[in-house]
Amino acid sequence: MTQERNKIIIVDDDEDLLAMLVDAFESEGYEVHGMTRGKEALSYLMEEKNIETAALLILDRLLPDMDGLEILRQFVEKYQKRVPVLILSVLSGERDVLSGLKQGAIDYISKPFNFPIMMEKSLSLIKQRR
Amino acid sequence: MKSIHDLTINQLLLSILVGELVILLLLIISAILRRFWIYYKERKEQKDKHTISRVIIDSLKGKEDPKILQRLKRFKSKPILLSSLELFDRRFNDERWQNLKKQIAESYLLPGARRRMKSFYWLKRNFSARCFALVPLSQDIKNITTLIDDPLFLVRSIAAKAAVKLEIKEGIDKIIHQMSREIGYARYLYRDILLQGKSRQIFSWIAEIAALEKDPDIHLACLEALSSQTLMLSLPFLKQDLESKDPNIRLAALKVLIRNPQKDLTHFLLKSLEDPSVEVRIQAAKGLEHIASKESLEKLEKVLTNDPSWPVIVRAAWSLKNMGKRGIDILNAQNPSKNKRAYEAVQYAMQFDW
Repeated sequence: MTQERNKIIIVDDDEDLLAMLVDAFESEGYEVHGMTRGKEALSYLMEEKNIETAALLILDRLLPDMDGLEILRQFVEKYQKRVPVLILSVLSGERDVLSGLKQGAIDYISKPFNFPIMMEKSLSLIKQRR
Repeated sequence: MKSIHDLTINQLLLSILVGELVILLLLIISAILRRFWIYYKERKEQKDKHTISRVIIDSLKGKEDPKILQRLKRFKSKPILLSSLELFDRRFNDERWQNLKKQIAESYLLPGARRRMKSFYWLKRNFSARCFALVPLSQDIKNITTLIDDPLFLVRSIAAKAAVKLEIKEGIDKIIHQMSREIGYARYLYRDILLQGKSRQIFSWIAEIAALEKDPDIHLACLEALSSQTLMLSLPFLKQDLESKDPNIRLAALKVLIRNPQKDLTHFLLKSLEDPSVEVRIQAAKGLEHIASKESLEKLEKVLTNDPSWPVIVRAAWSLKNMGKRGIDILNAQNPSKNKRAYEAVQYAMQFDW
């Protein structure tokens, strides 16, 4: 029997934003795991058991200890497209967006962003994948 | 037996030693107190930031008591409230946030900003400019345009952001005047501020200023701003600028022309390939890469083989490379025994991208 995917993993060093995202997704009934450090996130994501029920990974690009794209690269290398990845970043140039999408992200949202739209996009992405 | 004289010297030395020790002790105590004070201030600032963030987050969720914003009253006119709002403004741009930001600013920031804008201290004027840039309201137009003329760059450049957000015509005129007086980073910053507005109206006003303005510095500032945006506007003054004696005006006008194609574009680009200025010729060669006509291919080949400047030759080679098969055929036809420089430029262009 396949397990229901209802976990959302969020990696963002902005603690306030992380708290808001965690609250918002939790109130939608998801289990949310938030992290602020890149290395911590990478070691968490590389554990297969941690992503068994993951429905979405939201990744910030500019983390204090590493580039979010490096996390994305290793994540996609290990799991291919098993879990959709959404990038959330202040880097909004054409090259930045394209590099994120080419590495395997399903969407790229630039900061500042529209919070309700971002939530709706994430939720519909999860529902589509079910 | 010691003399009275010896005793006095010893006592004097002892007094100096004791004095030094006391001063040293006082310095150590003040250093410790200062550290405690900094630690306390940092802790308090962190706590205040957390309180403000919590209020904003709760208000954004809309689940709390509507009176929750009153918890921000103690931060009225405080820079910490302003910087917290600026931080949230870098995160969100949705309507809910815009309304909340306006509500907080109108209650707790803008009244103070209006008072402080005439302050002698630049930090207070900077505070005012930041508040107006965060929440630009039409009732503050006069305040914003006044601050654009501030003697301090860190005040006037922020006021310029507010003017662009509000699309104040007088403000845009002042920004162009300020930009014309600046050099280097400051000049680019004004141009980027104008671009941030992404408003066609703003650039139409800049085109109007460019058409009327006789001062070459102001005219050049207008051209620099216009060259950063594709507008599809008719810019009849460009023809005169392309024939200006000032190479900076010719170069800026050519950049505007490439971004905003006008009638006789090809004619001006071809003519500019013979300009005495190297920068103008480079720009003309760059502009021609989008016009793969027989005439432009022939002219670029001529530049490739005859121009005295290496950067112009390489740029011509790059343009030919980007013009498709006919351009690449011209590059491949270059013979090292006939023209070594042209051949080297071709090799360079084929190997690297612009």
